[in-house]
Amino acid sequence: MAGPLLKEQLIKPKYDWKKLTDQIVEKLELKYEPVGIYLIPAKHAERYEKFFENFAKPNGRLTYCQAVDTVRGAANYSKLPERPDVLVLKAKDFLCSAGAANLGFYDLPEPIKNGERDFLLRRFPSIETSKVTREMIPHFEAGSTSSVVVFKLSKAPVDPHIVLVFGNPAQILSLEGPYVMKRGGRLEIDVLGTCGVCAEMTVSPLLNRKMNLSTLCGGARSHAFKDPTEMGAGVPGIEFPELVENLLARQNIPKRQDLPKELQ
Amino acid sequence: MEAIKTNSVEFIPGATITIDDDRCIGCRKCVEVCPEDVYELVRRPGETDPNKEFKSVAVAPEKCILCLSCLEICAKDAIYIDGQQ
Repeated sequence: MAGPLLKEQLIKPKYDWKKLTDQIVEKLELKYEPVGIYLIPAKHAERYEKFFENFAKPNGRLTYCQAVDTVRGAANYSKLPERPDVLVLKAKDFLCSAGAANLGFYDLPEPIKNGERDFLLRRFPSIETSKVTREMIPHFEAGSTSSVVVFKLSKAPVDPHIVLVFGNPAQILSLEGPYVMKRGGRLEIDVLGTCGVCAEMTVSPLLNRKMNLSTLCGGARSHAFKDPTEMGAGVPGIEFPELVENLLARQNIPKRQDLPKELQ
Repeated sequence: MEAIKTNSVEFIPGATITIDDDRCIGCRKCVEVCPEDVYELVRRPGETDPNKEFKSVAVAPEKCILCLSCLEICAKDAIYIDGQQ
């Protein structure tokens, strides 16, 4: 049986994330570069967390989407004098309990879990509907995550578990064809506009092992993402290099006009 | 308030809540929406403007569960939680 992984094996990225970032930013003309996410499970917290101890921690509570918005360079919600490119968040750093709970830091506070909160917000006509809808939001088991590392993709200190790409609908559309290019098929999207960055873009692609798209959520747009034309795609880190490769390969495919007239 | 215990990590309720008195119009929305009864409406002493007769006060910030419903519902952006609006 293999022994514990060495530090170098754990943190040395297998891919050139700076190059991949430059390629996708240039090809899609993205305003901000993608964001990488690395989750540290509670089970191996001690062993993994020491590798990230020298990276910045926020100097106050912030939401997960604010952390993402901070590292990509749109704003600085970290309360640190300089905007960090990498942020390490623990349970105590979260301002949004639903985001932290979805990511597996702890269980949802009872009024959110039992549907009362969303019922009080008049989002549902009954507590039962509210509860069922809440239960269906993608989430990890409470207590299963110890830390989350959020970083600008070009500065990736490790291969990300998830890559978050933000852009306008036309830019996100450009990812769909390349994503299924080699295998074929269709994209089935898991979306509700609730917990957009945490559940829909981070947890769902990890649980379902496939890219998911999100229109973000009211919270994300209220607390961080100020451009209403932005939406996002959460891509499993393992699939991201091939996605960029396919995206670039499509530059060289024939146009419909290049085909014989009867086949156009 | 007692922490909610999970497998190994605890969610500890409570937050620092600040309400901008100048912005608050005492509409009662935060009082109604808060599932933990963090807010109460109090009369402003000596206020003659009928539209500013009441204001919201965070009487139990230690019960806040960080659901941020109050931030979402406040039409006047008068509520700050841990410095974040």
